[in-house]
This record gives sequence, C-alpha cells and structure tokens, in this order.
Amino acid sequence: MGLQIDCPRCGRRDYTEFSFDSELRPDPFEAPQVGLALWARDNVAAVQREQWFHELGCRRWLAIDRDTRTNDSSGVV
Amino acid sequence: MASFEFEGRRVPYEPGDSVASALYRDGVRTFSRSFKFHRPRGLYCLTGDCPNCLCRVDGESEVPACTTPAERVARVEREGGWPSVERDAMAVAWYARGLLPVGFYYKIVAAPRVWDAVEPWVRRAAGRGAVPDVELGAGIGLRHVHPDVLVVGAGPAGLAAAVEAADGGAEVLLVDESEPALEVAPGPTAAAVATLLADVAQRPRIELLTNAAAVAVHEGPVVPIRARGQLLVAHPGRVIVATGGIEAHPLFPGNDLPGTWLGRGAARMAGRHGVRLGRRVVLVGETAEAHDHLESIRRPGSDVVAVLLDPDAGVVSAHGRGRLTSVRIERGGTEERIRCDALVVASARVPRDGLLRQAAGIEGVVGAGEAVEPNADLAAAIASGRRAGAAMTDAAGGPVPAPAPPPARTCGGFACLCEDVRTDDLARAWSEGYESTELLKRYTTATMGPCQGAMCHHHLQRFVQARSPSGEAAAATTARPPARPVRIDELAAGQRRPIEERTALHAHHDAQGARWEWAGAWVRPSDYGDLDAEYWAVRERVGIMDVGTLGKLRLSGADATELLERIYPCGVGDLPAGRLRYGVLLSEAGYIFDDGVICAYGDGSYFLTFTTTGVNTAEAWLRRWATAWGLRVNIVNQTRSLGAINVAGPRARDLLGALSSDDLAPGAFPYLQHREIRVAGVSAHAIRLGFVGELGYELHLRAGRAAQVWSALLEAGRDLGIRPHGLETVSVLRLEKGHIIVGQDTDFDTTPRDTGMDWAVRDDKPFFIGKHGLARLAEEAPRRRLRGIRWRDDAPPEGSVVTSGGAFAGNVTSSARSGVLGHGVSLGWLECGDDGSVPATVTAGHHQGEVGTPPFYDPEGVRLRV
Repeated sequence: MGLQIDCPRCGRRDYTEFSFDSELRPDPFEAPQVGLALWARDNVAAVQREQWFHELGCRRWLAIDRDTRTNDSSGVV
Repeated sequence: MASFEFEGRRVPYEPGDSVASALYRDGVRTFSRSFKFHRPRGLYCLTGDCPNCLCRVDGESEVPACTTPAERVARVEREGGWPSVERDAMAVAWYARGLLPVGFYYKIVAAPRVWDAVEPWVRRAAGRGAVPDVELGAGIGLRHVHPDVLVVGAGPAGLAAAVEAADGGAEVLLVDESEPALEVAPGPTAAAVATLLADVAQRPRIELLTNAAAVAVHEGPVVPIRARGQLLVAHPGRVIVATGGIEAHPLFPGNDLPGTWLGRGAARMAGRHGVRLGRRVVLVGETAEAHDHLESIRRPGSDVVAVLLDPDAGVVSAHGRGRLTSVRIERGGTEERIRCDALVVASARVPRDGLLRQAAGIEGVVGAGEAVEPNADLAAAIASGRRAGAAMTDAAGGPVPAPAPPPARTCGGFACLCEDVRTDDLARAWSEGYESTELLKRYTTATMGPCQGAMCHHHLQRFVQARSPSGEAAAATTARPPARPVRIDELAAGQRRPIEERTALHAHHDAQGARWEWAGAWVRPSDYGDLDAEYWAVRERVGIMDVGTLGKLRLSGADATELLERIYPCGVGDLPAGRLRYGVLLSEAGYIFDDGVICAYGDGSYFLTFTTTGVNTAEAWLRRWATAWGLRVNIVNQTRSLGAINVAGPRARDLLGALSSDDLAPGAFPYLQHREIRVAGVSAHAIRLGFVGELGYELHLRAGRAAQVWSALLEAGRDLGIRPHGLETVSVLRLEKGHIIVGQDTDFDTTPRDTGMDWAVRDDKPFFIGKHGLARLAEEAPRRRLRGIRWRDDAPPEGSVVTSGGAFAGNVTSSARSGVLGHGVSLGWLECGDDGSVPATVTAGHHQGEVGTPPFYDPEGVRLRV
C-alpha cells in the first residue's frame, strides 16, 4: 500500500507532506556510544520506529511504527 | 477542413484521425529513417510499440504519430534524415554496412586516433531526434493517487478486471496509453470493448484515464503514470497489468520495408481510419483475427491479391527500393513472387510484458489477459481479466514464461527495428562470444531502443534458445523502467517551485529599478544599477537594505532557554534582557549548517534569526530536538509575518533619530543590544548589529508596515545621501569585515575552528549539539583553514584555485575589489601543511596575494560600536 501517515493533528495524509528523518532512538547523546547511536542504522526489513516531520502540515515531529517491507504504518506512537 | 502543418504544407485530417493516419491518407509513406543504416521506415504496428512513426510533434522529438490524435497537434516534422527523411544522403550507410559490423564502435574506440576522426560523423549520423527547441512550460504537475486497484490497459481483459474489481467494492483507477475505443480494429474485439466501456462508464468507482501510460512498477507497489500534462504516482493496493499482446514482428529479408504491416496495425488503418493501405495487398495470417483483418482491409477498397491463412504458407522475403514492390511467398511447398505494395502479417502474439517483468518479486502485482496468456481468444481474455479483478488469481507478479512464438518460416531481416540490429548481427555477435540474451543485448543494443524490447525481445530469446539448449542463457533480460519513453521534465514533475516569494517591499524595489536575483524561493534585489554609489553610501553616509527574507523565529515556553543552550554552542542563558549574541548551528558532527543571532528578552523568551534559505531547516531542527527531549517550547515562525530593514552607515543614528523619539544614544542603545523603538510611527524591534561593519540597526516590523517605514527612511535620508542597496553590495561590505556566508564560505564539513570562529563555541558548556563531534575533530590536525587574502591588485573570481610555490594551496570562496582599501580581498580555504600552517603568500593566475586574518576593514570594530 502506498504510504500514508496518520497525523494526530491533521489526519491521514500522503507521505509526501512529511519528511523522513531517521530511525528513532532514545536520546542518542545519552547512549554509551554516541557515534553509533547517531549514525549507525539497523535498516531492518521489519517494523521499525522512525521519526517524520510534518513539513507541509502542522510542522510537528511524529514517531511512527512502519513496516519497511510493506509500508504499513500502524500510526503514531 | 481541419489540418496541421507538415514540413511546409498543410495536411488535412478527419475526426478520429491520428497524426499517422492523416499523413498516410495524404500520401506519406516514409515516416522515419532508421537508427544506424538510415533505411526508410513506414507505418507498421500502429500500437505505439515500434519506433517507425516517431516524429517531431510541436517541437517535441520522438512522439509516436500513430497514437497521437491529430486534433491536438499543430506542427509535425519527420526526424533522422539529411537533408530530408524522404531523400536521405546518409542512407549510403546501408551500402557501407560491411564496414559497420555490429559493435563497430567498440572496435573503433579501441583505436583512439581513428575514433577521434570518425566520432563527429558517428554522432551526427546515429541517434534519434533532437533536443526540443520549445520553451519549457510551467513544469509538469505531480499528483499522488491511492486507488484500491490500478488496472493498466483498457483492452478486454483490463476493462473486465476493472468492472469486476469495482463490483467487489474497490475504488479502481484504469489507465490506457491510448484511446481504447479507437485503438481496436473493427471486429468482435471492438464490439466487446464498446460494451465493456459502457459498463465502466456506469460505475462511478472506476476512474478511466486515457492517454495515460504506466511507465514503471516499483516496490510498494508504486506506479508512475505519464498522463496529459502531469505525472501521476499511483500507490494502489493491487496492480493488474493488462497490457495485452503484440503480434510478433516477423523475420524475413526486407521485413522493414515501408508497406509491411502488422495485422492489427493494418486493420486499424483500414478499418478504423478508412484509409486504403495500397492497391495490391498481400495478407499472411496465422491467427483467428486474420479473418477480421481481411474484412477491414478490404473495406476502403484495397485489392487483396493474395491471402495466406494456411499454416504451411508464409513470407520468404520482401523486395523493393525504399518501398515494398513485391513479396516472395511459399505455399504448398512452392515459392512464387507476387507484385504488391502492402504486405500484412498477422502473426501469433507475444506478451507486452515489460511492466510485469519489472514487477518480478513485487507483491500485489498480477497480470491478466494477453499480457500473461498471449493468443488467448476474446472470451479467455475477458475471463482472465474477471479473475484478476475479483482477486482470484494467485499468481504473483514477475516474469511470465513466454510461450515460444511460432517458428519463423525464414530468418533474416531486422530483429530489432529501433537499433537496426539484423539477424546477421546477432549471429556475428554470437560468434564473437556473446552467448546469452543479456550479453547479446549489451553488445548489439537490441531491445535497448524506444520500444524497450516490445518488438524484439522474443527474437533474442529464440535466437539463443536455438543455439543453447540449456535454457539459462536464453532467460528473459532484466526489464527496467521506463517501459515507455519518458520526457525529462516528467522525471522532474513536481520539483519546480510553484511559488516566487516576495517581500513586502517588492513593488518599491521594482519602482526603484532593482535588478533581481534568487535566494531560495525568494527574489531579492541584486542591485539598483549603481554598485559604487550603493557601496559608498553605506561606508560614508547611510544605506538601507530589505532583509525581510531573513529567517525569524520567536521562542517561548518554560524550557526555551534549556533548548537553546543545548542547540547553540555559545552561551544563551547568560544573556540578560536586551542583549544579543551571534550563534552558529552545528550538526551532531560539529559542522556549521546555519547562523544568525539570538536576542534575549530576559523572561525566557527569545527572538532568533537565521539565513534566508536555512530557516526551514533550522525550525525543523529546533522542533525535532524539543520533541526528542520532551522540552516545553513554543515556536512561531515569523519569517513571513515580519518585514525587516537594515539601516547601516555612519549616519544611521542620525537618520533614525529624525524618525524616532526613542533614545538612540550609544549609552542608551549600545552595540549588540536590541530594543523596541518607534520609527516613523511604526513600532519596530531594532537590533544593533554590524554585519556590514558600520553602525547599524536591523528593524523588524510588521510586514504590512514595512513599506511605510522604507519610504519614510528614504525621504528622511535624502539630505544625508541615503541609498538602498542590494545583495551585491552587502556581499562586498561583509567580505571586507571577513563575515562568512554559510553555504558560500562554508562546506558541509566546516567547523567553527576551520573558519577561525572558535569564539563562537563555549567549550566549558557541559553539552551542546556538536560538542562530541568537535571534541573528536579537535584530536585531528586541521586539514585546512578559512583565511583572508589581500590581493596586490584585483581579486580573482570566486571559486578560483590558488597556488603556492606552484602547488595547489586552496580555493577562493568570496572575492571582490574593496572600495575603501583599493585592492581585491578574498576569503578562501587554504590547505594546512604538516605543522598546521598555511602559506603566507598565494597566487591565482596573475593575481598575487598575502594570506592573513580578516577583517580587512576596521579590524578593531570601532565603527560598528560607535
């Protein structure tokens, strides 16, 4: 299915309104190895938690769970 | 009668005509010249598959004349011949074919001197089309659509699939690259299509888009579709590919002569457009459809002199000089020669499966109809479409095992019409060791032309199958997007900025004769026609500049100070009310990506400025970390709601004083302070800064009042010699001060240390973004430094390479002649030696310069503090 994201403020929108940032990590600067937490990616073929910016909408950051194989998004975490 | 222009004359057309049918009716027989040998080529498939009728239509190259409705066209020209397609001198290439064997250019390239000599000729003779001479329009729009089911191809199978899927409750998008009602020749298929189209029209769940070609299937599935004037990107739940089949391109010597037709093409020309194919027609048919074709071909009055529907009969060769005049046929074991001017071959069909082969391994993509079951009869195709529409097919997408096309009676002629590859060429390539479909494809370029293998891919497979029984070498070659030709501006669909952003003062600049330049999406005055006067006004008197494009954010909330302390490498919390500080934004790695000032109000709220093109990123950056750290911060982007005017020069205070009753004395409003003041009756947030190196005030005020203040300043400053200035002047003024422009003087990996701005980083802060990165980089010896260069005379252009002792030393990022100093000055990157030092003197061409540390002008900063 083409990716659409449920923005809690704006509703269900095309992914093109959003910009993808990265896989979501807890505060990377608190991690034992900051460099790894900042730049290493797991790049899984599975559901991953990631952060998106609703650039052309409410301009808030969202965390979503997305299945990288199917683009199924279970919505905002 | 309606008509279009064709090579200097008018060609009339009838309703329903394609460009091709109108031209053919008008007597045009040669539609193009072939890719390599410049052989004349005529109408052939009429389904948009073969390259023969690609013409220049309204300035655009490579448009298939057969699927382009005549009514939408003003001007048509043929392409590829010199001096003309009709009489092409380059056709001599055919007689020199012995010198131009397959892969000849690889062999020539191996001898470089020969290649240098012949390259211009090869480039001129080979290839298709030309770069369009038309002005590109407003750009191609982009639309994303999310149907439940996407059906590609509105033939019997596709229409049936769409109806079935819609009846099952799905929202269906049905696309066809042509006009389904027009492209099918008269007969039972056309009747079935008409009935199904009526069914489709009754179902509001189906959106039918004609003249819309699906060009690729990507993972997702995501299917880009080139439609009229826009690119559609479909994100369907399921894709049904019903692109049909195409009559196998027959192989025999002379198979490319104008006058040779595929059965469906001939039936369409005669039956749909009512155009006589020729005086004497020979029909060779292997399919049930051939009987219907025969009826269609006869209707406009062609004399069909021979009909060969017997499987034992076939074409041996076709003859003629530039046009078909006779064929040699075989039937019942004997050969005979028949005079004719049209030969129609309705051979068995091969799947048009480029999209399906692309979709190998992609879930949710299935084929239906002849795309997966070539030579299925009408009922079978419709049934196949129904099954796919009802999601009863369990077949995954991917390559369909292509059923072996019927054996050719003879061999010879052109296997690949697009790239002019003959069967002899395939044999020669094979003998040179290219013994698989993939290798033959790469070496001969067969299947790599505009048809992307629609005509010739199966020939390649059969050719290898006959020689390499194991089968692996004959595998289908990889199909890649695009399946149909795509224009470059369609690839860039949606990328053109639809907006030209203007500041509130745009009309004033225009009236003052501003010349414009782009800064991101903004248009800004570059200058007002007299650079010297603009420059000296600021240095000696007073100048004003519209800086309304500056990024402007207002921050408040309980954790605003905490957020900024973590974001900026400088101190923030120690700023008392009314103070401001320059701050750079660092990435996690410690690299500068934007800069601006931080104005503190003392109540935990702030006014921040950023660069014109960087503010969107900066805003996202602040919001991202506020969210990540759970900080309570409110951010308002005031970039467009506030206008801004910079007032700078030794007389700036006098000018503002004339329009304001606020106390602007140095003691009351010193450098690096900000205040609310009233200027010309308008309240403005004034920031005392020195980007240009003079006494200056940046006034931020409601955008709607900016024009009022701008006019008042110009009026009040007239006696002071005021002038507005643009970006050109400010870039010189700030360069004299050594102030960097992020993105011009910095790269993606520039640290504050590299630019000599260590002072912008407070190392004793426990944390800021980039601190880890800077600590790591501090362990490494610096590779290069941003330094100032004082030139003996003029400065070299920006971007120039500088050398020292004949060796590369760096490059110049900003460059200008300084008015006050009387010589050129630059900022530039200089490579560090092993001891970390940079050269003391450099040269750039005939320019000689001394390396130093900026600022070049007023190094103590006396002038901006007054």
